[in-house]
Amino acid sequence: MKRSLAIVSLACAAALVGSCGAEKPEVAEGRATLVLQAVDTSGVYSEGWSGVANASVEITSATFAYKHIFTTDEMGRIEIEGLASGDYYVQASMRDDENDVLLAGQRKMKLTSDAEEKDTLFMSFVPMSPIVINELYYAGCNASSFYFYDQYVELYNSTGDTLYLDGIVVCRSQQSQVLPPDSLETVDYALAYYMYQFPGTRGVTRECPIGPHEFIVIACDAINHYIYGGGLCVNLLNADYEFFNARANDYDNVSVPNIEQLTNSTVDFALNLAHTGVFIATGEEYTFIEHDGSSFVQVPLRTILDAVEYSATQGSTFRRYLTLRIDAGLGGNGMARYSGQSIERKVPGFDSNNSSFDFEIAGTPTPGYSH
Amino acid sequence: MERCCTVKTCGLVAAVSAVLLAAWASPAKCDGIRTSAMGNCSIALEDPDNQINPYDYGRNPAYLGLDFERAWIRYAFSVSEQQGDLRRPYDPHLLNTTFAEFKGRKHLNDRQAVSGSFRYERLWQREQWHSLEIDPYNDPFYLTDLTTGDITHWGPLMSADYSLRLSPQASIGVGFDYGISTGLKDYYTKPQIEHNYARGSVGLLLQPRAEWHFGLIARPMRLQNRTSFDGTNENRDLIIHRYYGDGIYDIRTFSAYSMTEKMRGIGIDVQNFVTTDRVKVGTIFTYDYAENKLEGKTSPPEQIGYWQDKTLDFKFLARYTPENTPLVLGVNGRSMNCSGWANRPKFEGVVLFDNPIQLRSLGAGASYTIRPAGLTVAADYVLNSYDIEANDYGANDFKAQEFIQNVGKLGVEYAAYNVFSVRGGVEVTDYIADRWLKLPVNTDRYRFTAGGSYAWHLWQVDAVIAYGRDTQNDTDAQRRDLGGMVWFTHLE
Repeated sequence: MKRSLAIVSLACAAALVGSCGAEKPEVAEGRATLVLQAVDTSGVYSEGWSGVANASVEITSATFAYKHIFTTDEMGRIEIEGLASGDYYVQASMRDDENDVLLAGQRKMKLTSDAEEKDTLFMSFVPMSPIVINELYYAGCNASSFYFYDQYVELYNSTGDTLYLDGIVVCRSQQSQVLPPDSLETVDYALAYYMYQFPGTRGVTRECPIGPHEFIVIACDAINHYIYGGGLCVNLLNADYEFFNARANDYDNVSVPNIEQLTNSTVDFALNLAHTGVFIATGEEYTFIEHDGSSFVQVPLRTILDAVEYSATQGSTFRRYLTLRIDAGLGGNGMARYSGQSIERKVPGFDSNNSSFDFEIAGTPTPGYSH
Repeated sequence: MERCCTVKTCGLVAAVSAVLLAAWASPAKCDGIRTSAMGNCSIALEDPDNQINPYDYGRNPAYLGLDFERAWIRYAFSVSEQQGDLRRPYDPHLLNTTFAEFKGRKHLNDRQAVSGSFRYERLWQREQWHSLEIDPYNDPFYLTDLTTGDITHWGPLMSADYSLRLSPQASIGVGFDYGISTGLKDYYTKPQIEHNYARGSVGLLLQPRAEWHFGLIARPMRLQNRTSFDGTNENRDLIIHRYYGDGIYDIRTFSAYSMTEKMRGIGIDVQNFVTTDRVKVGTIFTYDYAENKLEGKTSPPEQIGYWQDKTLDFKFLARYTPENTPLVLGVNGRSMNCSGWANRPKFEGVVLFDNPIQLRSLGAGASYTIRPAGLTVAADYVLNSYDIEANDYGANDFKAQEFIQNVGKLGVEYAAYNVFSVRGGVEVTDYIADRWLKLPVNTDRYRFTAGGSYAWHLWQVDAVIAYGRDTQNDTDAQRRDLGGMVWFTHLE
């Protein structure tokens, strides 16, 4: 009896030993291999398509903190081993200062461990928008008083000619409750929460010039914020334009021209301190809609000149504000609220329509110039 | 007879991390204050707290009633401190542990006995670099911020054991350990760290023959650590780094956040003890299984990490007392295979971290008592052979160490008139083992212990003080620890 009991007990113990837990996977993490062939499709260097030698290839993870820059070989080929599983942005660029050529290409790729992913990266001239958003300062400057009224948007004329901003609209995008989840990529417009327009009429008047390679600063409130907020707050007395909302109790610096609201919001122009999108459009075409008692603006993608989406938190789990077609990635990862920092293009005017690639955290804001 | 934390193992973290470093080095470890004061000699030193029986050697609650004769209550106080830079990256520069404890043991009747303890403890992690967990080394996943600050944990620990003799040949017992603490970091990002540990044990003890005890124990356990951030007074965002191994991390910015790790597991012990006039032998076969799931507080909850640990452990301890001599000879041994691995739930088919450990250990000891002089001398030598791998696939960092660890112990006690005693000892560990292989290689530890006891009527006072120093040849960095504990025991 006692012996039987002992045997049964041992058998139970042995069964437990063998039965507990999930099975250990056999594939090891960090074994993904990426093989890329960078191809110049512009035809600038040779007839037809050819490999791009010495192109700088930036691999950025969309799911964790990983960013490394590699260089293609003479054939335009690159092989990267030891990557972890996840989604990656792959950005290639090749700057030829001698011939004043900038080629760029990008794609998003999903890598699984222990597998080799091969692809071709098509590079061509960067689709330069003549006017781009060059810097966004949205983080706020003084946490103890919740001070973030010194926000501004900086535009840049990347051409050698004087252009005119007349009639152009600046919009803060809306996370589209209007649209069902995952349907952002199925529509051909961006949704704006509020929209401000430069004076004049596009193609008709010439009231708002922006010179060649000039920066234009549009302040939320064009005052010296250091006086009110102290700390890291920015002096915006020299701003070129000021967002003004006549419906809100908005301060107006009369010595700074206004750009005024087209929508019916009753609050001053402000950017979210952590995550939102900003875009500029020609202002030639847009549609007001109502949804659940709120009004929004549908702006056709074809009229959008530039768009930037930023998020303090990295990751692909967040619902996007802007379609990948106008901004493939998120800028400003890791930037804290009230840190007194801005995001700025790495190179003024360089716009590959991927903010995670084009923008970097600039540190101290630089209104009216580049770092 | 006794099983209570010593200066060496006390602390809220002991439930997790001390097992990895301290317990591996000393398979026949005993937690009595007398053996602690005598350099932790335990293989051949006969002591009421260090017997080869199912309770002292295997903590089978079913044997509780047979482990002591007289009831007692005890008050204990302890302070200990470790300091120095010879440590793993996320160990605090200074670790201070203080507790006050009340403990008691009593026979309820001829068949039943109980023991219980209540302790209130403070764990003070000073100059803690980046880490935001009470024990970042319990799995490959950890949280960090970018600051260095002090974290203070406060909380009670309780334990209780109960045994019931069903017949002269059979007993059952149950036990319960529970600990809870709250830790606060005094500096940005100011997290609150809640630690919650519970372990039960159900024991069965059979005595098929007079000299043979056969025991079975099942020990379910649950450990939960939650690190939560409610924002700071400065209203700044919280920038947190979440690590998946050392190579993969993401940066999260929050105004409020919490991450919870829930570890559940079970341990099964099969025990055999044979006791004759001259020979005592105890063997324990243990199977331990635990899985840890880490979850971020989002809607829906975000699975962050998964860690699984399995251990197969066999150990034995034997003592032989030659006839008509005050000599006790002892041997012990251990064979342990532990295998831990981790993955990221979003990529379930891929192993992130792999941590197999193999330990083979053999030790011998002797103790000799010169009766007229009241002098006892004990010595142990243990040879541990470790084979450890720490493969961090995400970081492409593969470490392996195969090394021999030598542990030597020497203890002396002078006792007079059954009233007082003076004790001293030294313990030398050549090559401290760390399962993550993050401690500098070939770190040695020297410990010097001293203590004494004094009996007065029904009261007995015991004290121990220990000083330790860790050194490593290639660096000037050291780590020192100093601690002491006092017991006030009242026999009923």
